[in-house]
Amino acid sequence: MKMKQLLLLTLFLPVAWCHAQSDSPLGRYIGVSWNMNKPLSNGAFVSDFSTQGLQFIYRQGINEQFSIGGDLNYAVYKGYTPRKTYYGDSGALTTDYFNYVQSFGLTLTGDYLFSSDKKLIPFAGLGIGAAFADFKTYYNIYSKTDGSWGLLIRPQAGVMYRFGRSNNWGISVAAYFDYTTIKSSDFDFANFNSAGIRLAILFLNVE
Amino acid sequence: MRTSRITFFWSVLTLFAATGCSTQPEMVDRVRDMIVQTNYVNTTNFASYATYAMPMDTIGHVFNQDPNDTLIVGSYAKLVTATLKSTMDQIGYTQVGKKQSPDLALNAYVVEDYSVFQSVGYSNFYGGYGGGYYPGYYYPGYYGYGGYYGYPFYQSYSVNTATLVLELVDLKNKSNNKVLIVWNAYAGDLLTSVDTFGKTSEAIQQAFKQSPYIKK
Repeated sequence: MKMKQLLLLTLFLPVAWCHAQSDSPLGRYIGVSWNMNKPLSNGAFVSDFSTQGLQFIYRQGINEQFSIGGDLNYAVYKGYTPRKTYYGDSGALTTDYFNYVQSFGLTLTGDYLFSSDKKLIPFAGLGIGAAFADFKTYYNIYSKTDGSWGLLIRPQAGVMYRFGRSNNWGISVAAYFDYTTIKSSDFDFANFNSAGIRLAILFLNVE
Repeated sequence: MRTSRITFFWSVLTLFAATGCSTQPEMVDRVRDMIVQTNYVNTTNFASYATYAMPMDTIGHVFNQDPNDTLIVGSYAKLVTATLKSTMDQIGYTQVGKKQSPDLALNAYVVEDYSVFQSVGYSNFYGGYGGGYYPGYYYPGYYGYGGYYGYPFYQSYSVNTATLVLELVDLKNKSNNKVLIVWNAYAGDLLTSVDTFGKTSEAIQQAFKQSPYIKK
């Protein structure tokens, strides 16, 4: 499937589901989360643990066990290589440099809720969608950049905590793994994968 | 519901504030040291040269906004030429006058508002091209030679940048009254450097340090 079609499907399928009848105790819920990520591949480019992650969560409960929706996420990854001399056949270059990756992801996500009628709700889910990454290397005042689209697959598992049945908000902690097909030949970069933890605030039974 | 919306709005705003900043490094961190790039014709036997010529206390200036501004004098030019002379003397070359048939000419000039550094690739950070065939832009005719071999750099305008360019020109083996630049070095950026004088001196020394083939 082409990336644009996947993107459109990711955008519109959850919206279409909005009108579905639901007997889920959580109803339709939205959330925003702080994501912390660790790159698991291409560590020579960016390897630092990142606390610069943000995610918007949208779900529609289909029944007591399942909810479906979408996630929109953003993260910044950084790496720094200290000053060093690189030698070639006809010369050398001495510099330090900073690598940055800004990644954006949009997934169609389904969650299985293990006990949606309780305060503590463990869940596991899978998101499939598209990702875009903007790669940049900064050396002195100069920079080099490249951008790439790819497929994003995100398995995740966590727990939601609902603050009482009468309260329409809760929090969620989840761990996830992001597999992407993002590549950059300019930076010798392939399949940018990461793992992360997200802390979310959720607003339940949104009208 | 109104409370939830307000809470949601503030949550989003707070997260944006926490995560949205710092999508690039601080400029002060980027320019702490200068980039130093050197190129050479790798068939050159630098031990075969004994003497060099270089005007003291004056360096060239290539500035696209004022093409008539071709010379830099003063403390910066003195620093550059003194550091170069000291380094060349340490290597074992002897400075002579330009009329005393020097083996090498040592050019130094500042290129302003042009991009001179090559694009770098991550997998092979140093890209490199086969030696410096840069024409004698530095006050043409100073050594009596033209020699336009093509323009391997100055590929694009780069506003508010300045790079120190050094060249070793082979005057010993000229052919058809043309000379070959056997080594060049770029150091920059000069305009944004936190310590232009100190970092220039370091960069000149680094240029020779990463060129161990320049020896007697």
